[in-house]
Amino acid sequence: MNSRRVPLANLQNATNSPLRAQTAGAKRSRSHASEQRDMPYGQPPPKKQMIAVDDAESTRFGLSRKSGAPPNAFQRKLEAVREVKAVPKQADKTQRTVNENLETIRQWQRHYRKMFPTFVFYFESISEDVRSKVSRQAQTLGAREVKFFSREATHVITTRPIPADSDSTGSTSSSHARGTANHNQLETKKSIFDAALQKNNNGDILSKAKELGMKIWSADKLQRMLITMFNDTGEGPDYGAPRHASAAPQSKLARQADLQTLLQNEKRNGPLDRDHSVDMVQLRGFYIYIHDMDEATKPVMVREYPKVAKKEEGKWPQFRMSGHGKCPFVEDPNHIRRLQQEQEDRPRGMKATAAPRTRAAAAMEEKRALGENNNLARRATAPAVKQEEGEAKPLDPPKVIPAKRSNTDSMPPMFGSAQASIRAMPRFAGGEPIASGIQPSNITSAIRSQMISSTAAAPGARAGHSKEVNQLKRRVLDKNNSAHSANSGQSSVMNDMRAALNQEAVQPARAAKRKAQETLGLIHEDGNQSEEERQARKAAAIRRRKPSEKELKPGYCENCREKFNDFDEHTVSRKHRKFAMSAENWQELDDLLAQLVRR
Amino acid sequence: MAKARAALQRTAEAMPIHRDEDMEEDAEQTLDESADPLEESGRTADSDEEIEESVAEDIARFEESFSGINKRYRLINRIGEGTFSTVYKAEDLEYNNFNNSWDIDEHSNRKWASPGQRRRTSKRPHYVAIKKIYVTSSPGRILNELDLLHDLKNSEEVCPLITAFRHMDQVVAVLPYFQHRDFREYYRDMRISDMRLYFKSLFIALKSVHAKHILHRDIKPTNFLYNPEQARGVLVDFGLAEREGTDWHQCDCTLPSEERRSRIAHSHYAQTQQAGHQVSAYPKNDVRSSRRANRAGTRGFRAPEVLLKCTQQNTSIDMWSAGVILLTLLSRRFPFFHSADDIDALLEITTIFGRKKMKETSLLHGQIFETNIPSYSENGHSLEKIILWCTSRSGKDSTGAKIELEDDEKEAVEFLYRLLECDPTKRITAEEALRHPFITKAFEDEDGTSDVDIDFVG
Repeated sequence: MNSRRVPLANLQNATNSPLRAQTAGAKRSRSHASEQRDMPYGQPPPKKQMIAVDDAESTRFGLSRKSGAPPNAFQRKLEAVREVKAVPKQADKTQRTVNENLETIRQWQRHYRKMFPTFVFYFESISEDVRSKVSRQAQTLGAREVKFFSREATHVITTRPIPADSDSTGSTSSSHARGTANHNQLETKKSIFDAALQKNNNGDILSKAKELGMKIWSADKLQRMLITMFNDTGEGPDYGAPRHASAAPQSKLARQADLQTLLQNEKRNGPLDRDHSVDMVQLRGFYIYIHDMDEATKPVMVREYPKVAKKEEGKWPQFRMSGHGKCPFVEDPNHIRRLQQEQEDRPRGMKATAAPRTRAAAAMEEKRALGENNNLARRATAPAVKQEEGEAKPLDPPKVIPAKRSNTDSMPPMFGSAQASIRAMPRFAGGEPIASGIQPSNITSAIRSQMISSTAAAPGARAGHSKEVNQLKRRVLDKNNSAHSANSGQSSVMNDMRAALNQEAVQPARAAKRKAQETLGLIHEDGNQSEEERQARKAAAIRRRKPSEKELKPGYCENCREKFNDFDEHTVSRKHRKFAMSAENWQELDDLLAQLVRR
Repeated sequence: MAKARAALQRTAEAMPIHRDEDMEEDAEQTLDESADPLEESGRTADSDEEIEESVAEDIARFEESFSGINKRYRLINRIGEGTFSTVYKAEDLEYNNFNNSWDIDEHSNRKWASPGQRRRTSKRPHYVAIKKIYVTSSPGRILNELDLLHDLKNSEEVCPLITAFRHMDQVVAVLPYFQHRDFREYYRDMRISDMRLYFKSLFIALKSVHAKHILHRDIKPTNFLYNPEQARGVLVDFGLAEREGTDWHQCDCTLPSEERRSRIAHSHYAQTQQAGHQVSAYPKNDVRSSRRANRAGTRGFRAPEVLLKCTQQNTSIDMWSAGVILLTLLSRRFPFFHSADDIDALLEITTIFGRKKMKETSLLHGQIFETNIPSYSENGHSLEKIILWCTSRSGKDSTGAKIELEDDEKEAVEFLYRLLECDPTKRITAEEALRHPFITKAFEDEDGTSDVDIDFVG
């Protein structure tokens, strides 16, 4: 025995003395006796409690085992069984026995709670799920795990049989021998490590570990220890020992213990009813999922769409029915309505078809889908149109359906997609067709541009966010200026043309003007256009003379690092003024401005 | 029908709402996003144009808050409003006191215009654009923009910075006022020959910017002020621009393809695939850090690598954006991409190029692209087909033959493929683009049609 064992020897007759236990034939010392070596040098010798440790274990297990020998399978099983039952069993005995036992376990726990932070485990030949579980538990006690075998490790945990060579000399001598080795290591740790690696110990990690004086534990042993460590003995931080010592009725105490054990277990193992599908969100609908191939970072994109009967009804981006000049990904209800109108008109008279190859006729053709690569699209003759209506070709954009559900309220809610709120929304503003002559370019207010900027950050996906509010405000704005659409920036002629195309039947008042333009072959002269445009713009400006005066301009201040509801209010706030007045904030910029002085 | 809808609704409710970004990233994201191309004004105003009351008030407030500015400049109208600034047209009251080498109009009036065309003499008022940078922008951001502009002062077709100054937290940049037309006025009428000139001018600008290793990051029609009559444009707004290499972290796309392949073969994904395919699932409470990359720009104009958060983005992102402009012009659809957010944006690109291309593209940046959305085909659509479809020419002509693109359109599409190349390393550079037949023909066209002397040919 080395000097560390002295305190133990001094107390050989104490109740919990290992010597006493040994006489009782319950010595189980191999691992724990040699535990001392796991203490890094330079640390104070263990306190007396540790005496209780070995004894506590041996008392509890009550196993007679040849010291130093690894437990055989049967013994391990037996131990495991006993261990589970140990506490309740003893609880059946007299209160005194219970207290005594609890006390020894507590001492044991106290000891190892101190020791664990010094342990560095290397797991070997252990299945991944066991390893991760055990490692996590050990880490909660302050131990570390090394992924690669190195001298850093203090313990090697394995499921393989532990080589018995040095152990056969008995625990005492082996710890002597290793103690010496350790002293050597202290001086020339590196060289010994290297030497150990170079030695021809079959290259086996366990042999090397032994060479290096590391502890080799069976996985079972570590698991058992951990279970005992986490066992409720009143040592836990959440509840105190006195409760167990109280004369509370057994059943209540037991129930309490059960509950506490349960909670404790959940704490270290996670909920019992948990399975992995809860941790992972399975993508069951139609989805887009873009993720790191090494799973080192969060997925860059993930979004799920509800399953739909026809893919044309899906809310994901796809080519949709839209008029000339407009975004091909945004559905245009006016365009669809017009096409429907034409289809209805067709059988009755030849009015619509009588129209020459105008843009209207051309637009008609466009309703046909964009076929897949090298897929011939069919010609838009009247019969073909009829046929297509019922048939729904694979890549056909939506036809009749969209017009019917153009009321967005009745749409199924969309999740994770900004499209619900944005797609096709403005164009339907007020239920009115796009009017002519509106030129919004000069009235764009800060609030609008800022809100629009913010749409890009998927407002649909965030409830209760200020962006959402912006989005709503924007819709209101759109409703008010019902003439605005995302695409209303064309000249008046263009708009008139489009209105004409879109509203063939709905707006008879325009017919005359339209006729005139059609006779011009829908070709507009540049000069013509700009004149007319200017007038239209003026008219629009007059119409818009009264902007809602106190428009709040929400935004984000980079300098104060905060969001604000109103720009004007924020910029006069104390915080912002303070920033503005501090010269040091502007030093670098001023240096540059000095170079930019006009010459 | 109602029943089906109810069922649909239930499914939708049962599925969790996924938030693809953290809440705390919101503010940042707002700042990433330049103003919507459709909502910005993109055209120079005439001075006789009537001014809205609210604009007049705004101008008055600005003059009041910025003491002394009205001695130097007479603010006339508000001509543009973005996420980070407002631009005013102003008369330059001290024009004659300074060196005005920046004034290309004055320059070209003398040099380019035939005597009969010369409308204004040197007596004319001189206009400038005053960019009022919002006081909520950090000095760092402002410094970045002005510093880059300062660096680019002698670059061709890049809007020069006349001067800039500060009053308290209000910083103002003075830029030349450039006569141009709103993109929306002409995008549906541009002929291929017009497009050559447009892009020649744009690529001259980009070439000089990229030569300085600067990424503009926000190439879009509203930031390229183009005057079709003069076939000349200037690139403006370097508010989101950055130097190449800023905050770079190793991204797989810069590895030699051999090494990248090996990385992919040894990836976690490859191993789990070998172990047997699993159902796609993502962690509910993901504690991993997000992939971080600059994604500043405008929706609908972001390159795939920006959407995929490539951590080594380079100047080629601007070339993609230029490609989006060309696609807009050829399809006569503006905006072409709706791109409500980055996911939509990538899916819109997928609509065109198909899943296979997107899988490859994602792998370039070390990412796995998975989708089961039925609208996206494996190989996508050809750009020819999309352009025909967008221009209502996907049928057959009177002889029953399939309508095809015009020859010059085909050439344009071929060039378009070089711009909308999903692999940034294969994408054409601005310098290469200027040597591409689609652009070099612009010089020929000019030669043949213009009535002025061209001194740079020959």
